[in-house]
Amino acid sequence: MRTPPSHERLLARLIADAHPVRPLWAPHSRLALWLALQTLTLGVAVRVGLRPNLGDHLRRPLFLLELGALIAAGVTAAALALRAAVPGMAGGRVGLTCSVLLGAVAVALLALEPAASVHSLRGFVANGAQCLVCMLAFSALPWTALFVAVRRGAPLNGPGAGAYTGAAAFLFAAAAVRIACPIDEELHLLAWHMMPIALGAALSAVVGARWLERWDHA
Amino acid sequence: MDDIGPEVMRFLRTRVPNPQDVGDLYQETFLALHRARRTYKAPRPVEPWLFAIAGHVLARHMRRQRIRMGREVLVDSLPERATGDGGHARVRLAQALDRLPLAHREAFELVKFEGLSTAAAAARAGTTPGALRVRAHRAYRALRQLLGS
Repeated sequence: MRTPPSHERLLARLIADAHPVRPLWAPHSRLALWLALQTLTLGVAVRVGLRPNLGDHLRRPLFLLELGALIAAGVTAAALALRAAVPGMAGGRVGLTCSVLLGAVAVALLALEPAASVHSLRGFVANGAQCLVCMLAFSALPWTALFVAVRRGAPLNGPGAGAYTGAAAFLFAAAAVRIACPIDEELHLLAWHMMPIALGAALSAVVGARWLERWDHA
Repeated sequence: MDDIGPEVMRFLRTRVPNPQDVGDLYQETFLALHRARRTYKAPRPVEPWLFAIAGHVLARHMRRQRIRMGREVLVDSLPERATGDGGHARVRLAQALDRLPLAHREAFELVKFEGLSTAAAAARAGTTPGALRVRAHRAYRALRQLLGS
């Protein structure tokens, strides 16, 4: 029996693609690599940061807790992103709850910083814009690396995996900017350090919906 | 193929009424498995991986079908053969199942449709027997409310 040309083309493609492949590294190995990259990012933040008294700040428990919560939330989100790319291994609600709780703890801790009144809207936006640019700069490379790592797998939920990827990259970027930025005011921190995390995760979810679920399309 | 083929076929048959769709989905599932093969690494259990992919293919099919059904236009004349009460109940059950969270629905289907034991169903869903029992119980409760009995 003669099969339609489309079947023959599909078979030819499958046969051409039917070579043995090397399995992906386990999520925790890839996570360790990504964290090594993020350690470099944090190192760059310490080196180029504008904060003159970082040593004093590193002795403040609140500052350390803020950094710890941001980094822990970032690690959890990155782990969830990498697990979401392996069918049957997705983190589920417990992982998501942990990540959201850690993010909420970070927000609560930042809200404990002294509140300062905004004297000039222009100054507030100008300072914030600098932090926003820094966030984008600190998150660009880690986001790309994590996105590529997730895309090499087979994410079943593109928007979810994209959101985790964005959240992980921007949480670490927020930690880096917290180290680098000399402003310790509640409103500045919430508006320009935390808000971009939510926006970054949302944008990344949109990109994920478009680009991460393509692996199983004919 | 000989080992997992019948399992995948049974999984699809219990969820999709149209045999032609089952055949298509079976092929789609194996194409997806082929494309995702680098994400499987021995000695991880193969069942959670396999059925996560099959469930994904199935969910995509359901989504497409729902969109298609939404666009369909009702006809004036009735078909010659009636669907009967069984068909109506089946449609209601399928609609109610669609409204359940994915994990609850999966637990219900594994236990009720496929007749698996709690331990086997938990292994397939990649969870513990206790968690699976809780999910299945929540699914029964939600279905009872949705079906109004």
